[in-house]
Amino acid sequence: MVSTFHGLELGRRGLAVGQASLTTTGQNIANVNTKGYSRQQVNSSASPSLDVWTGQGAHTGQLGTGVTIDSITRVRDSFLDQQVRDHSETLGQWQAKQTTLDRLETIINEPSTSGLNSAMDGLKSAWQDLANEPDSSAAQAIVKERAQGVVEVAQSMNKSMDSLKNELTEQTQQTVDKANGYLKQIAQLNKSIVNDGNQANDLKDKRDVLVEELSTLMSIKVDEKSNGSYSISLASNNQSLVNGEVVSEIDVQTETDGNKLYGGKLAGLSESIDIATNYQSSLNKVVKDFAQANGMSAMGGKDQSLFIGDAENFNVSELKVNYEASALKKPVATAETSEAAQRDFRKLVSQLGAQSQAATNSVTNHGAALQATENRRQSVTGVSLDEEMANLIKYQHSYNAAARLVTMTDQMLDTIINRMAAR
Amino acid sequence: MRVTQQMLNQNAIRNMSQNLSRFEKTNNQVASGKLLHRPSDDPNGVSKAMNLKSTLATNAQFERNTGEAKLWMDETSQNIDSMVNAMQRVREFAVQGNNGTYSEVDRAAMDAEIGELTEHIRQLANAKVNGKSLFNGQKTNQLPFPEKGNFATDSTELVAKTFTIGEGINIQSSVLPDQLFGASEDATNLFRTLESISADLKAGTSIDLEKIDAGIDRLLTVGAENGARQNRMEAVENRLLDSNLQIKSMLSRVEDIDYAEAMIKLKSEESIYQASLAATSKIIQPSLMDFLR
Repeated sequence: MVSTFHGLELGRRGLAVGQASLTTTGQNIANVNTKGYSRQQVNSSASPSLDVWTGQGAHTGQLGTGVTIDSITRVRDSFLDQQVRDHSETLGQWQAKQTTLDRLETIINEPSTSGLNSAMDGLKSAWQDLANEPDSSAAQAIVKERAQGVVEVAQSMNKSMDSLKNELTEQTQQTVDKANGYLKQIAQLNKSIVNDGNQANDLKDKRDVLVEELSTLMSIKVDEKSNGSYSISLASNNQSLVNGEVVSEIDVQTETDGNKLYGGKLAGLSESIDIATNYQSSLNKVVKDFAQANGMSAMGGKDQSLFIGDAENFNVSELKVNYEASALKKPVATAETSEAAQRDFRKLVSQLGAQSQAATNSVTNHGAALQATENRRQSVTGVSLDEEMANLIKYQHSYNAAARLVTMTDQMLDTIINRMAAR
Repeated sequence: MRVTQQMLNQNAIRNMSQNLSRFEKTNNQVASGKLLHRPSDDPNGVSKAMNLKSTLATNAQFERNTGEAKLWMDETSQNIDSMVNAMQRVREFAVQGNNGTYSEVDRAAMDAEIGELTEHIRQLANAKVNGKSLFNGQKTNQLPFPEKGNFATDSTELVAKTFTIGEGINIQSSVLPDQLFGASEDATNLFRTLESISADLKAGTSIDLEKIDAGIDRLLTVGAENGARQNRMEAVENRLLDSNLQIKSMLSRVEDIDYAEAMIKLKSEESIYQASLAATSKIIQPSLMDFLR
């Protein structure tokens, strides 16, 4: 026989589940805009039933005892998580490169009327004026000033490239520090999650956000262990980064590590440094060829050459105009070799343009891919207010109904306890 | 597919920012009138534009050079004309002197006149353009005949002055003293001829008119050559102007916007952006929450 108060207990359990469901709905609504939050749901099932004699056959009847909360879980698809991380990594790499190429385009400053190309054109004209009036000191001075113009433009470009490279190196260090910070936080969260048991939903969300941030910086592989902790390793060589609470910090890559070992933004930065170095040496080559075509002598030489520079170890920053030259002579091969240098510069510009265009397209494409995956994941894991409002009504009714059950049981007990005794 | 508020948000923001950035880019093009702002806008176009700009700069210099060359040639032609006129006067005196009817005094006067004309021709030969010696080749800071009565010039290494008026096109802009007057050691040298006329007048012997005619002929021939070069240069100048026009229109095609097209594009980008704003404001607002009481 069941207890007199069975109905009260059954109603109470219904109320408890209703309340838990309402609270969870509230939590979902409250976190509708929280980054990385995944919606939670209350998983309930009918509680173990009681055996009662029914007088029908040999078997006992099963009397329901209400409902229990099995778990409160977050809705998440780990396959989509991995996809998001993969896209984030590629996007992070391209974004770093695109930013660098963008900066280089600004530094090169073409097409313009104040760039290197027009400075070179200016010198070419000045030579012509000098050829027209070989003994004019004004024409001599103009050649030197125009040459100085070429040197100044080239040196300012070179200097900007130097500071770009320095910035990239600094940024690499900062990014490595940031990645190490994430690794430590993830290990901390691993510890808390294991301690809290496997259903630390909000901690897990926090950890996934960190893992995603980490994945924009480097290419990682994530394995979830049975105790709920993550073990993270580097995708390129399986080097362990986080294993439970154990962290293996990373370091700035040296050249011998080979670039791109880390992937993500870190690889993008390391490639960026290479790109900037390449363009800088191309620029140096162009300026050297141009200076040689227009007459360059060794350092300290005070002859009739227009430029003073070191042809062996040429560096734009050390190129000077030979103001001491008293009667400049236009070198015989100027026209062709100097035009060749200008052609090389145009080639450099269009190569940079093409590379930058490709990087911009890649950023757009990978950004769109990431967005699409993010949408698919949001579709699984995100909070829909409409849905939560409908659930709110649903759970409100189930709570009300459970309360009604308690009231009704109370009325029955009133009949038994109070009215029966009164007669 | 389940649709959530964050999805709506993210997609709306992405769409709006993409539309706005396209709007901004077109706006930038319209405001500046230029299609190309950085190499990545059109790598090939930018390289082409740079090439065309270099060519324009070169052409501008060629134009300046033709202007200068023209000045030199005009001066050359005028000076040669004056020399021819002076020589005509000399010839008149020579014809008179050959008559034999003139007295010693008359001949002396004629000789004096011829002396003046010789000096006149020497001064014409020392003519300057912008302070530069016209008839002394590339040694423009020296005069061909600096001393009165001395007509021996040093013509070794004397190269005619030229201007570059096109890619690989050089044009001689003046003539050398030897071309004008004949080499100074030659018997037919113009100044020697003048000296011999003077001597003939003094001596009362007959004057060789053919020598004078040969001198005048030489002046005329050199003048005609100069004229022909002027014609050639004008042809080059015209070609230069034509090519400039073509290059400018090519450059314009590469880097300038087509205003009609750009304005239509701008208008359409604007309405796309506004549509995305309007759509977003509609879709972001209401949820079931707004209808439940």
